[in-house]
Amino acid sequence: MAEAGRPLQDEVVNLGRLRQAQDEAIEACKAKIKQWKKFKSDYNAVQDRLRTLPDRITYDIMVPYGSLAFMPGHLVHTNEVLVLLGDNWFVERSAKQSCEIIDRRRKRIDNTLKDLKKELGLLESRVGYTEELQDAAKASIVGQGEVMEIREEYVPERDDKPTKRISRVKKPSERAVKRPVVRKELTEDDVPVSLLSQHKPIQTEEAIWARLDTLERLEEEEDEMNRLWSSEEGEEDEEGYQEDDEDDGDDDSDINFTDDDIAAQIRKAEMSRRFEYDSAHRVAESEALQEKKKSVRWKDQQELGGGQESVKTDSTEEGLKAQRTSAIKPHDGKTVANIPYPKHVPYYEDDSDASTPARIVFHHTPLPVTEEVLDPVNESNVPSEGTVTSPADIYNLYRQPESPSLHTLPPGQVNSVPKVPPEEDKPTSGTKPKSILKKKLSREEVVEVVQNNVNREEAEPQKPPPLPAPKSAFSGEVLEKDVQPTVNSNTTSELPPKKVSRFKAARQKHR
Amino acid sequence: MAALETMRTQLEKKLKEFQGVQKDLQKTASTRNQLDVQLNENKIVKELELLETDANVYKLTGPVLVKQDLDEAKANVGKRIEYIDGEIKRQDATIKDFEEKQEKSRKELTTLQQQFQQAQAKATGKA
Repeated sequence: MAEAGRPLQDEVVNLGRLRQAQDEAIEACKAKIKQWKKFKSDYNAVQDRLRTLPDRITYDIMVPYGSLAFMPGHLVHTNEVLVLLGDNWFVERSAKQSCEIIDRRRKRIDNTLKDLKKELGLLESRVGYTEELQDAAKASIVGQGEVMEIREEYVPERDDKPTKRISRVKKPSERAVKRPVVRKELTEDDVPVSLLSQHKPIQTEEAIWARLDTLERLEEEEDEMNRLWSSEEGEEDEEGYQEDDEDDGDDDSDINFTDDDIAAQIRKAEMSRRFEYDSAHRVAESEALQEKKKSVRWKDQQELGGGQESVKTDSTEEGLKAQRTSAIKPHDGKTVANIPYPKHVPYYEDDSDASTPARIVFHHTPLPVTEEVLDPVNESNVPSEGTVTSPADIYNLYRQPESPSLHTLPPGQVNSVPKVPPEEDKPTSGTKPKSILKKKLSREEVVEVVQNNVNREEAEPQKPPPLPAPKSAFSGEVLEKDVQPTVNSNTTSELPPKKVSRFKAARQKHR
Repeated sequence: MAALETMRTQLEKKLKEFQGVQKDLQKTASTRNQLDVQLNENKIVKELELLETDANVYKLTGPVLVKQDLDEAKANVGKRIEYIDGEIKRQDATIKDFEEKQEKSRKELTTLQQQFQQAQAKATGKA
């Protein structure tokens, strides 16, 4: 405190000096005011005298003679007054005219006095401020702590934020412009040009509020879309991505604009676009959602039929959350939360009718195909396969079997802890709890598991075999714990006809 | 020590210079103020314009009050005002010059002072 005290001491001294100077200025101002007031009173007296002077023609007065003597005399020409105008100029005026002159001068004096008073007020306010500072300094020195100065280091970073914001705001417009270029299917008309053109970082408040409202509305839609798409995209890394990587890169830049109305609108437009030209797929999707046992397959997997359950409906909150979290999960650094439209949209088979940018209706569908083997060991048994009546059921659905004995998979079934559990209905009891988020399984592995029935026991009543990996919405195997060591290592058992993306193939080779 | 002495003399010289400049500055400032006052006065003389043409105007020159023509008086006052304006401008320029000089000499003074103090400290340290 000693070191801090010295600058404080200086401060106090300086403040004292400042106060002194301010007081002096105030005194000077006051003196001026006083002087002018005297002038004014003098003028008033003269005026009075002038008014009464012409009453008589002559007055008997004692005339001052020198500085020490008086002499009796007469005052004549009572109406003639020599007025000093300034700079040794005189003018002869009558008494009345002189009065007028005096009036004019008095007006000027009043103005001057007004200015001086204003000045005085300002000075006094300054003094008050200085006093506060003095008190603060004294207090801090004394250490009373009542009035403490708050000093903050200047952080230049803060200044960057506005610029950052502005740059962020610009991005959606860039993205919007880019979008139609990248996506060949898109027509430029689809892009709401108005949106792009009217992009302004600063708008009226009302516009902003309106935007926020639309944004909220859109976000809800986007979330639905997320749920829809993310089930696909959450599964694989880059497999089966039909879109350009540019798009992905594009999306990366747009990830963080949750608040951007233009982005939302563009997304919406794009979604509608997708609806339009992917109408078939969309309808297929919606149909799949609405109906049971509709399958969503990769475009190149169309030939793979089967009873793979690929219901994406998830009407439970947990499932939705899971889906959402899966959507949020970074997907090779590409997909991030809040990206409303699916980056990696699987192309659905063309069992679609006329297209409508339909609303996707989610239904809770019973699981015809169960992937997990229920083990009686697991206490939190799923009451029955394919039904989920409680969160625990979902939990159990996707738990890894704890032991080899428990790690039983029905032939063709896969233990799955899906990120996005469209097949949430599949009960999986007797499995170890696995982090939903950690699940990441290649399709081949799922297929492998499916194929590999060596060590699997049926611990529960027959579940419908899971779809082969590419068909199912998610693979079943949780990599965390090797249920079947062979499962993960076995990379060979792919369905020969199945086409896999080069990434998957590479990974398979790698393994 | 000799260096110290020389430094001291130098310092004193600079100080005197500085003070001289300061005085000049003050003088010019005061003349400027005077001129300001005179200007104001002469502005008051615009009262002349309100006079009737036949009014008597007198000018006090010394102890004598001399009758003046109104127009003449007006002209005189006008001229005087212009003259005073010019004077004020000139004074302003000189004031500026003096201020600059003052700043310069002040700076030199401070540097010299610092050197002097350093030298002094060294000397005292040695001694």
